[in-house]
Amino acid sequence: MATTHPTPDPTPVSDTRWLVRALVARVQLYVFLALVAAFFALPMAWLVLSPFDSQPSLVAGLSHPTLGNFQDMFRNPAVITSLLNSVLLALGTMLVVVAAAALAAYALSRARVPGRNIILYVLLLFSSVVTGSAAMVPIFLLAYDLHLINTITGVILVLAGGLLPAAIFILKDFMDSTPASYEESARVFGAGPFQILRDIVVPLVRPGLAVIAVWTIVTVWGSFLTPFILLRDPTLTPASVQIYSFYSAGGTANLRLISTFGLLYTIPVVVMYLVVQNRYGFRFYGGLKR
Amino acid sequence: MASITVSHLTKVFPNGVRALQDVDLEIRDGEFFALLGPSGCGKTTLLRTLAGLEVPAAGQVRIGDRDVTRLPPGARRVAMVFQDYALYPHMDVVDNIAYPLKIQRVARVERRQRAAETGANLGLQGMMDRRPAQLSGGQQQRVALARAVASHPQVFLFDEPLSNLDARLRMEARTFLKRLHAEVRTTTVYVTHDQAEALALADRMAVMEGGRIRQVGSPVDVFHRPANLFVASFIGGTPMNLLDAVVEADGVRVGADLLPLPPSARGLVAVGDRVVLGARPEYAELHHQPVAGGLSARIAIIEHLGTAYLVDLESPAGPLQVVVPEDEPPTAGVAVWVTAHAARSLLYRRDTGELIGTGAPAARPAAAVPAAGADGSE
Repeated sequence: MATTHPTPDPTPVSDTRWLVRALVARVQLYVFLALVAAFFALPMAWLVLSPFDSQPSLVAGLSHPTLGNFQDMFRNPAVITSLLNSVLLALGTMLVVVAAAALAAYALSRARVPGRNIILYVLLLFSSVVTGSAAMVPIFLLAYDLHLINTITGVILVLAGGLLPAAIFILKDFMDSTPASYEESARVFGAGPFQILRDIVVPLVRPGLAVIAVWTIVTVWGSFLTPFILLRDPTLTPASVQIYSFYSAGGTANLRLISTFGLLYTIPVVVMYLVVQNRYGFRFYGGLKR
Repeated sequence: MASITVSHLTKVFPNGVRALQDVDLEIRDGEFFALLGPSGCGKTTLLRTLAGLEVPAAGQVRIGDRDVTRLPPGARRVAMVFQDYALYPHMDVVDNIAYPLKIQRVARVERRQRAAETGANLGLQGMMDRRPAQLSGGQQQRVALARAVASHPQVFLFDEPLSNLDARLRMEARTFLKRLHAEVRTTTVYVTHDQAEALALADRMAVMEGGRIRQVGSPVDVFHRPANLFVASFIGGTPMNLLDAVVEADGVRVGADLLPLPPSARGLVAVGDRVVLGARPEYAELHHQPVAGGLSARIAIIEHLGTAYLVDLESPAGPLQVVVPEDEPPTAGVAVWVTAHAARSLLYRRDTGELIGTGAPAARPAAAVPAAGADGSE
């Protein structure tokens, strides 16, 4: 914007002009923000409204209100099974990630390992490769040779492998910021490493554990590629893959089922987020409130 | 309870710093022993080596009749109180005090009862279910003490436990510590950089500098007969006046003035020896007329200390300080003459910095020093 300096002292005329210009700028800003908000809010509105519409389209709206979609959906036995599979997968991966990350982060935070940071950064870099599409063929072959195809365990291990580096990275920061004197005093009183981890370190980094637990569950809940490739048996399919079955053979989407299932699929994650946020509060950094 | 024997202890950190250099030390059973020195002198490293938190490069640590040099911290039966107290923020006071007992596998009910008793003895009744964050600094410090007491160690190790308290609380806590020690009589090693704290608390003390022990003795010994110039300048509320001097036939010459030879150095110096004359500001006097054996000076600055004045003087031999009683208020700018109590004055070799004189604690056999510290024989 060009700034105007027509007169050295502002006259009433230029004052009004300035006011109008400020008003226009303000209106422009709000219009822009409203557009951005609508861009993100419309899919949400679709997700919330379409399940209650007997003839949903790609337009967010409620033209034929009904609850029949839910009846139809629960008539499909795969729906509940897939949601339970998702829960199993998410909780299993969460347990593996939290337990392994806690041990690894504690060791990396306390032991003198040469090139520790380089190891961590390299792991972090490769973690995106491990669960990414590039490594899917070798992972499939590996899982096949280990007889882990078509098992929940196999999916849990692959997903955990992909999530662990970032989890260790986050948790190590929490561990680093707990004062060494806490552990030293416990050591002087005779506590061993596992006692110290259980009695002192884990309670102190609980916010960090909550963060990686929730983050793992959310990530696994939404992960598609790994379970899609490693699980062939329809009774083991998690919800994220199940959505894919609500297409006809010709590729037409069954919007009634997809929207209804989509809503159901979203609710647990939102509820969990709210519960954890209320009970622990998320913090993505270490440090202690004494 | 146990004695502690440290021999030829050397600690080198990975970055090459030699924190302890061939340290020998004997701490007696039941003694309150202070390790005193400026920051970086190795006192905390020595304490941590006693605790087992640092592994020495060479040397031996014995607690009681056991060689603990290679034992892990938990097997040494010591308790340590850290500077930041290291109270666990997620446990309440009872659980904090009971934690050592939990590690010793004492049953929950019994350990909580014992913790409550110990806490009550240390004036913590009514706070047992609070978290450390809800306690004042002084109370936190008592919880840390209670935790150490509850673990029934052979040795207490204190790492500057009073330095996080404000001045008034520190005095109270100091008295409290001394009373606690008189009660339990557990061998105590106490690290501090505050010489007043060491003098007030310790049965005996060691002054450290640069990873070495510069003097060991009772507070009275160390205060009255600092074994070298380092200890002389480090000990005392106001630093000791140290003036370059040369020995003459009938005294020592400081600048243009001839001062009497301290009796402790009589017969041990030769005419022409280059020495340093040491006299504490508390053991010096101001005169407004010239006196024999006085050092001429001029009053520069006067500091009011409450019950006395600390007078900063300028003399041809350099700046010096004298403490003057409160009923003789000095005036800045006037010329004065300073005399030192000859019996309280000390002479040091200028080249080695060592004290000249018989009866210096460093030269005395250690066994001859009574633990009670009955000194004062000049």
